[in-house]
Amino acid sequence: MNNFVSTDEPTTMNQPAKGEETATSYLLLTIAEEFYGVRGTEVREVTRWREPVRVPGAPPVLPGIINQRGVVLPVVDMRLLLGLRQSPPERATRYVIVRHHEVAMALLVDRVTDLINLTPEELKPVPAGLPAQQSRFLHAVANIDADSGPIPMALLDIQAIITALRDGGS
Amino acid sequence: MPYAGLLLMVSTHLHRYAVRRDHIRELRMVASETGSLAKPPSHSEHRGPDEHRDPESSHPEELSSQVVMCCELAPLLDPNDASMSRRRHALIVASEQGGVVFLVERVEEMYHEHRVTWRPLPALIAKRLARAWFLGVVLVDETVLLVLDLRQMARDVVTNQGILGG
Repeated sequence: MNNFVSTDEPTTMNQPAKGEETATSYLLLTIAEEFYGVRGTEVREVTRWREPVRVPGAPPVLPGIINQRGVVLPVVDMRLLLGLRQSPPERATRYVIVRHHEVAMALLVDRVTDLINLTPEELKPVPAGLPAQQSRFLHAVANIDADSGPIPMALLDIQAIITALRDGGS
Repeated sequence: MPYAGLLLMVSTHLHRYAVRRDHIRELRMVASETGSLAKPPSHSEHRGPDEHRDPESSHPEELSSQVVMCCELAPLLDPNDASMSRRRHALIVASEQGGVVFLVERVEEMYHEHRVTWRPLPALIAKRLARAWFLGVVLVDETVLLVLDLRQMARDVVTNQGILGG
């Protein structure tokens, strides 16, 4: 069940429907050429990038706020959060509006690609070799099928992101 | 923080902010770049665009002895926000040490026809700020404006002049 709104037509990645009765939907997105996923139940909306209102004194990982349908949301620069190189916005840049419990925020990502289903069997533990700056924000990894072969994707832990932002550990 | 009183929209070269009118003891126009201030316009003159006002036609007078500091508002909030204009409006804010003058390019009232909605700053950002200079956010016809806490800013610039370099 898709409960988010997108203005874009997602590109199909030949992901077969597997065990849909037990599968969890994930929004597939890219950050610095790498694939990440966010649980579909946590995604409220996908919207195009526009200039956020900068809040003086906020850390760079929180570059500002946006008004999304009357709700003021903090913007989280996912590249900076994950310790990746910052990049200027492009046509494909998107805000992924997520809500976890009572906290809502706009994740700044490079591109939103697709909505896929993953069964519990397809989720693997986060590899120990990943940099801590990234691994602490992940809850699992998985492979997705594409025309070019399996592509690794990392599944974001929204609660861990909120905790790090709230505690100043980002 | 809900506030039912009058809000002013202040403009710097790059940004616009909202401020509470009751935080401002006096509102004047700058008559020159030397820091002398012209007599304030009447309340009705605060309304609407101010291009018709000519600060040179006012009678300049020196800063009040009760003013302990005068600084540009913009660079306190954004180091890249340098004004290109010679015209200034002075927001005089009371502090325990004396009056603090914040200079801005433009001041407007928020008209009643504007649909102004107060919102708190998102907690994720509010808790991470270097200084507590914001009372919240107002949505003005879909535009997001930060509401400055001028009283807190006045206290901070007086006590931390060297740090802020205003």
